[in-house]
Amino acid sequence: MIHKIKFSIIGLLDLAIPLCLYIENFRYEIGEQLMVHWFWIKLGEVLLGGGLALADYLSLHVLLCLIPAFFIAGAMMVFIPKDAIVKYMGKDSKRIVAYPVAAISGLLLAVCSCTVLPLFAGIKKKGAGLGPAMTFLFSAPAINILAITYTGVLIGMDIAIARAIIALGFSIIIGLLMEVIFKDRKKESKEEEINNATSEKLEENKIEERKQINLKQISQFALVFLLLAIGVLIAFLNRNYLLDWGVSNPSLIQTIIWGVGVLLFIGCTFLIKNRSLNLFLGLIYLLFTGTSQISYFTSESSDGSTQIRYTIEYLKSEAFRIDLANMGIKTVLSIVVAVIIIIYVARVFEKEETKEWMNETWSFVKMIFPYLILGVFIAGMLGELIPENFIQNLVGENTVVANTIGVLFGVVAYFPTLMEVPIARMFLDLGMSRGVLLAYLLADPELSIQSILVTRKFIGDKKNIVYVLLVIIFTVTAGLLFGLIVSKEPIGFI
Amino acid sequence: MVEKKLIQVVGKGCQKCEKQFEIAVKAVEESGKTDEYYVEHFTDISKFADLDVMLTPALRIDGKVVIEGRVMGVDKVKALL
Repeated sequence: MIHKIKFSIIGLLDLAIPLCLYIENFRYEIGEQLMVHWFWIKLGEVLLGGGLALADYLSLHVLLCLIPAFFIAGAMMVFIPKDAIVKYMGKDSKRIVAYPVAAISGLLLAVCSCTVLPLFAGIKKKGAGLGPAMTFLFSAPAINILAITYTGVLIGMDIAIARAIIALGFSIIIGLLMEVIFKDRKKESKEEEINNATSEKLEENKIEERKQINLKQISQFALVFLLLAIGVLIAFLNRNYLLDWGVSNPSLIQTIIWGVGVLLFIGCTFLIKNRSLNLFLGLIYLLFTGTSQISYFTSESSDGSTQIRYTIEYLKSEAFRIDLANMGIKTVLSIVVAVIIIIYVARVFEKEETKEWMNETWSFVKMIFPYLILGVFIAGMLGELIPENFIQNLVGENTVVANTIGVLFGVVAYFPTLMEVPIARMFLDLGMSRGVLLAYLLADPELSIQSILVTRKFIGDKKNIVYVLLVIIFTVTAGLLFGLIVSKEPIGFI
Repeated sequence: MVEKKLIQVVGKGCQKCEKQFEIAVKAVEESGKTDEYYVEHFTDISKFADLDVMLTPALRIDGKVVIEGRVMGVDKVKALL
């Protein structure tokens, strides 16, 4: 059965491969005829580099993860009550609430970059003050769902998760530091805080009592937790891990785990009344399915992991066909989850809401997709143009200088939304150290010359300079530590 | 001659703000209240906070924020005039 599926998918592919081979032969013919005109050869190579990167980008692998992410972003715009979240960052909100909410709301509210600045100004002037505003400004561009997903599929889950967690943590630290340095918050709020702290404890007690009584709520909570845990499990459970643990048939185990997740989600749709929560759960599970490591076929060169480099050699190899067969199966699994979600949405949501959701999603696709394609193409071309070993010599090792170069490049070079990801992937392919890569990925969306000039208008020169310095110091440190802990590269100075 | 009431569409740069502005103009025209209301597109980001606006696009009618963070349809705007 499995072999049948495999071969029918491979059959489809036989159309695509000759096309690539034809392009390659064409390139060599041009080369022979115009030996002297190396420029043309180079141009051909550069364009081919762009084209291959584009093929990489448009591969099923990436699309499977990006499409759910686009739908999640659209759903966030429609189904999350934004004004309710903004209230938590209001004037009277406690610090302990305002900072975390400010950090996370980057994920929930500001999926579109044009909303960041007004909200930032609003929090600073009318809301919780300078600290939470800076927290929001830092976290918003770094933790949006499209950026994290895209980083995950194109570069690797370790970097994506580090990027999200570090952005959240640092945003709060930087916000607090800004508040301490500039003492923006009024003194009276401190007294309030003490009062609030006691009342908060009382409230917490109350909530806990309620929880003890309400068994149903606990079971619902457990259901949601289990579903998410299984999602994370299928996203990370590599077949090699399973083989290491002595499992003889890893793909079967992976599929069973996935199936349990689907059953849990169906359970959620019946047991949980909150429509939006169910919708988000379903979409997130779809995203996990898309990023999962389920693989039925293996070869020596490929274990279905995310690190595939698209070259002509690769496209010709058996590994490519095997990867595609694996992707085909993952597509089928994704479609199963998608169909369940569609049935649920059709039954529970009103037509108007669904339409609005689709419109939002489509407007995201329209807004971001052209930049993505352009970005991938440019990154692919740059990869051919940059001299070999240049990147490796400059930022190949986990040093203070290399990390600073990475961060400063992120500041000087401005790329529109999400374009930094393919660029980063290109640097990685050319030998950039993973720590430096993380530092670059953290700094690029946070700081650009353009954004520095805009925030200057809102907070003045002095605060702006301190903010920029803080971001640079923290991102460099993050890169160094990530390199040391995760990729186990010793820290050097130069 | 009665003084015109001000409708402000607050937001800069994104398509939704443009759309909200068009909707506001259309709503005023369709309800035939062109001499009662004046529609303005407010784009100075640094002054958004002074207008109590945090999320864009936002719609203010006669000094009150009516909706924030999403586009309001023609019919709903008309009902508020």
